Amino acid sequence: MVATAADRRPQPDPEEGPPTVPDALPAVLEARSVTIRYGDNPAVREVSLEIPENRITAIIGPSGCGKSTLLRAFNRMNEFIADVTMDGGIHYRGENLYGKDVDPVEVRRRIGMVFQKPNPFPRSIFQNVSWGPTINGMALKSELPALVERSLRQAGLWDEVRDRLDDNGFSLSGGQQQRLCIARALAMEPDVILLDEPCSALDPVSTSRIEDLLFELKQKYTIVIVTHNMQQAARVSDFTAFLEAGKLVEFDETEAVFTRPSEKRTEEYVTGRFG
Amino acid sequence: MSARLGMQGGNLARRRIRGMMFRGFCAAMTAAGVILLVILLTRIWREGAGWVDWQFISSFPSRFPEKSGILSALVGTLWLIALTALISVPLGVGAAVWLEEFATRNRFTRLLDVNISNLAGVPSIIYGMLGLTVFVRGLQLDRSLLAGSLTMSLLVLPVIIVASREAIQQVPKAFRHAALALGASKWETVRHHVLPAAVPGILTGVILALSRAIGETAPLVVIGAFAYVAFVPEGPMDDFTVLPIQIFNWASRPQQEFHELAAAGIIVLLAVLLLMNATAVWIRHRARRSRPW
Repeated sequence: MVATAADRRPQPDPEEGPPTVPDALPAVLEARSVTIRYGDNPAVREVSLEIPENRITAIIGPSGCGKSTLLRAFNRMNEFIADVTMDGGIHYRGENLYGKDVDPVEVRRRIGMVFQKPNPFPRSIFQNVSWGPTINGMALKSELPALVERSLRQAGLWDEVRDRLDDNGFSLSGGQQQRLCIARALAMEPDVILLDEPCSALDPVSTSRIEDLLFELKQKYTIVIVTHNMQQAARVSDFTAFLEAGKLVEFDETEAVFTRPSEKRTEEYVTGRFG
Repeated sequence: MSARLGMQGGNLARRRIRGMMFRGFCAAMTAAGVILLVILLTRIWREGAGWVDWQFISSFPSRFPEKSGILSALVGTLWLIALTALISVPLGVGAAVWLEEFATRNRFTRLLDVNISNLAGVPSIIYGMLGLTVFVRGLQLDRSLLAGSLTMSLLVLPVIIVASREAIQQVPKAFRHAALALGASKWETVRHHVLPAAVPGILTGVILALSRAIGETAPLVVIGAFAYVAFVPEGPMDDFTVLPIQIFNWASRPQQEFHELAAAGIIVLLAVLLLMNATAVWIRHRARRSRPW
């Protein structure tokens, strides 16, 4: 059962179960009472929410609340962590992401990810971007230069690296590396981009560049961003989910979450009283 | 209450002496090792250096010391090492990759872990017995280079597996996650990102393992490598001898000249070893410098 905000907006009812996507936006990803455990410890408990198309959804919450774990469940990256088990289901455009006949490789091709710490490959800038499309057979060798340029432009990095595409990805600054990682994800022409605290290792200038970038990207992509920076969530996202101790406390339009939260804990968190 | 710093109170003096004693002890132990090594090397050098010349390198063993040479043993050693590398590297690296990247951790893999580490400590003569039973007699390979190389491969495999696993573990997780999140398969991730980054570490481990094998005599004596081989092996099925066996053979003869030949053989063996270890150091150094992460 996935409740939507529309169901409960007139008469908020805490018993109605977890919150919601407000308007009738199509949901790209849908978590249905997802519980994720590390061994026996649940990190995410019974979370249900819908990620609306072409919007930026932020997941906020104090450290250890399970927000990154939930994010990784959206492209099955938890499978590389030992002892992680999941209950419940995640659906991608109506299809069960964890279905028996679903290849996780295909999932990750459509649902890209950018990590907390910039993690370029120790290869040239060009190869960093071209590797994904190459192994996935998406582009002929002759098409790669155009694809690389397009991706780097989308990530707002092209002008800075156009003359040094053969330099190692590690020769870039931290903020540039992170944009390179975004370009790398974009080169796969994904449907959804998951970002796991993408700015936590970056300075304020690089951070605002990436935030501007997200704004442009949501025209084409559906974006989910995990952040522990509440200002960032308030600035960039359309919807905000607040997680605490693995539970989804509130999920609503970002403006509502920050200005008139319906839960007391949310209010305490967004006003900085804890977390 | 405060005392002047210069006034040594309590047990400070005794503690300081103890510290100095410990330091002295460690220095003495180090010195003992170094001095012994120096004595050994000078003795060998004095006895053997005069014999090491082109004639010695390019001749076969003979009953006349002045005509005797080390060619067959040197070539035998090079053959053995090359074949051993050819056999043990794919096996060892393959096993390491499987254990690190593909195997799920369970009781079976943990059992493997323990056993691989233990195998690295099994006396080499045991591998000789195994080689004799399985390769020489079982597979009818006789006393061939191939039998010797297979036996040596058993010996170095645990070391190669352990070294390769360590090298693979040192590749940052971030590379794997980056690749997998781009829709790469496990194999593509390993092939394009994990292995290239691990290669210097793996190579270093392989070279060090092989240089251990170069000095091994026991397993080859057990499988029956000849001491007197007056030809250069030309294929993996040929009979062979290796440097340590030739050295042992000369050292066990009564005449002084042959003892000096043994010393000369040791110099050649040490030169080969030094060359291999230097290569390993060079690879490691270069990889460390060029590694961007």
